[in-house]
Amino acid sequence: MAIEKRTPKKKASSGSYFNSPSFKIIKNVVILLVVIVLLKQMQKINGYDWVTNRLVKSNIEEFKKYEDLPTDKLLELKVGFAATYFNFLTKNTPEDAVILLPPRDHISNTPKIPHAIKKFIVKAGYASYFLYPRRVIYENDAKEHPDLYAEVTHVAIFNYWGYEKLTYNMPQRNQYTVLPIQIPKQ
Amino acid sequence: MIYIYWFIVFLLGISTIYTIAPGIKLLEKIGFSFPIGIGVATFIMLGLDLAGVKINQPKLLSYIFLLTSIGLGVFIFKKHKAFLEFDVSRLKKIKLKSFLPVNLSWLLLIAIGCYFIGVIFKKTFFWPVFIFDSINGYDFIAKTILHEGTFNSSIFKSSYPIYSVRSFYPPFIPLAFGLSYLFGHDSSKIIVAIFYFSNFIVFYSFVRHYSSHLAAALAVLLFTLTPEFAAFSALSSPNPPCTFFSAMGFLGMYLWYRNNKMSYFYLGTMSIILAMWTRSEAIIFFGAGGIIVLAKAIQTKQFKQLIIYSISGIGIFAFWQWYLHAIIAIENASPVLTEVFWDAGKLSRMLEIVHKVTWNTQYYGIVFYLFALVVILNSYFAIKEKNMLVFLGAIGSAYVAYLIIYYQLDTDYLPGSASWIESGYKRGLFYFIPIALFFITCSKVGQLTFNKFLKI
Repeated sequence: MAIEKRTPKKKASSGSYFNSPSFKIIKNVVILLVVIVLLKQMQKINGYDWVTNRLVKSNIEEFKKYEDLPTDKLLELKVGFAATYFNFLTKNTPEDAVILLPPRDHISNTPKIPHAIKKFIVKAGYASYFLYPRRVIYENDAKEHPDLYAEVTHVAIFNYWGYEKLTYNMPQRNQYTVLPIQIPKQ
Repeated sequence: MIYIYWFIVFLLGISTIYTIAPGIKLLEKIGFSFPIGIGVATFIMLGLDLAGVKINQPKLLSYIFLLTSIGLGVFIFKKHKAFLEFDVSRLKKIKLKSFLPVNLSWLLLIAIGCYFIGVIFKKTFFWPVFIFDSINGYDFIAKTILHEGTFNSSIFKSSYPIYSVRSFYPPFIPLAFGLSYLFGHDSSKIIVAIFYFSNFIVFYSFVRHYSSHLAAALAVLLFTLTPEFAAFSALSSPNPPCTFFSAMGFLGMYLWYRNNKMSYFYLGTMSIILAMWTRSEAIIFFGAGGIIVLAKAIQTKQFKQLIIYSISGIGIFAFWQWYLHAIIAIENASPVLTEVFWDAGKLSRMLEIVHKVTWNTQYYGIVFYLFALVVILNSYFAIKEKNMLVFLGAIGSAYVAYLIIYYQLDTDYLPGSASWIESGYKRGLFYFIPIALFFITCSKVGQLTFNKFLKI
């Protein structure tokens, strides 16, 4: 493979105004002014206006506003209640847990949680990502996957659903929590 | 320790580059090092996985990467030492005088470009992974690789499968994301950041082959500011890496076509293979590169490169299809219909949405408008001098093939159906942006504008 050789630059012929340093300076400044004008006009175009005034400015504001937040709190800002709920489940169950989640329509019909957030909680792939290596199974899928259903170790209490799945009585009931399906051995 | 791991990946990349493409420019070598290094690393990881070795052992992986680099280094010192010495001598000759006269417009464009790149770079690292595609696909597999040490993890088990259609995409992104977790990162977005940055370094150097520094700076700025690309580049998505491999691979092949340097052929081939290793739709660039290789073969009556290129591309495509069926044991992994059919209504509805998306400045700014304008203006030179005809023919064919893929999807494009064009197609157009900008700046019209009219 041959190494590329650089050809020497041709020297400008002397005596030509267009090759003089003063003309080059003027040309340099004129081109700069034209570029500035073009960039200003470009900023008015729909997409570039969004990039400069919305994307960049809003991100800089967010960097300043949220710079001290830990990663799980930043995730809650983007994904809302779904992240909060999954973080809670992660912190309160062991890594080898098999978590029973409520029926999907129960989640979808729960009031006060935005639909855009609920859709993350009802998807097995999404829930599994946040809870991995824990495994999850929805109540709807019990008949289709009886082996996994039989391995359930914890029940995700969601809007009071799930207490009936426990093998013991729980007099104090929280709206959202996670409990072992059997009383832990002491 | 993280920095040592990444240095080893850099060594793997730069040693691969000096082995297969020692004649490319130094800036291109630097720009390609991390992407190629990560690409080769993912090949090694899947190879080890197939051999039954757990791939969640960062020290073992880094030793293998280092040994591979050393092996390639021995080859480089034996066969390509002159190229190394040439690059070192070029570095030593860099003086302040070589940057004169200072082009004020270039300074301004580079400053603005660096500012925007810096903001997107920071945004990439600031937010954790949250986009649905990554959580339900690439990043999930990456986490299973970290935990289970294999690509073929429990999520593919038929007892309770929790994979998605994204899990069947070629394995570069999950393996690369997995590598970042193995190295100790909390987030896999370092991978996207590396490719985002590498795009601009390599693209600048490629434009400089035929156009001025001012043209290269303008092209990089327009690339940076492309609204949808800027928005998507900070997310955990395979599109920025695939943009790098597809576009720089195609441009590398074209540079080989023009300058006849085999380094660009091997670099272009490897990039396109890695593009197909990232997303299956990159097969359109395999086709586009194939047109360039075929044109060269017909001109020179030498078919060795055509054979090498064809075997490489078909091989990587066939390997992944075999892996999906034989190892993951998934049938019907693709939503693309394989039977040929004619549906004028579907085509018409699809093209209507394609038109709205492609020419929307909210997504791509003025890039495709400028491209169309320069194609028209350059048509005189295209006819008279056949200027960049092969380039246009190849990329035009790639675009038509891209539309055919979307026509063959299992959807009718009626209102309420899956938004393939507004999602997949829209992001896939990223691959065409640097190619369009290269044409704008390096066609005869672009060269006359930047190398003659605007030259200081």
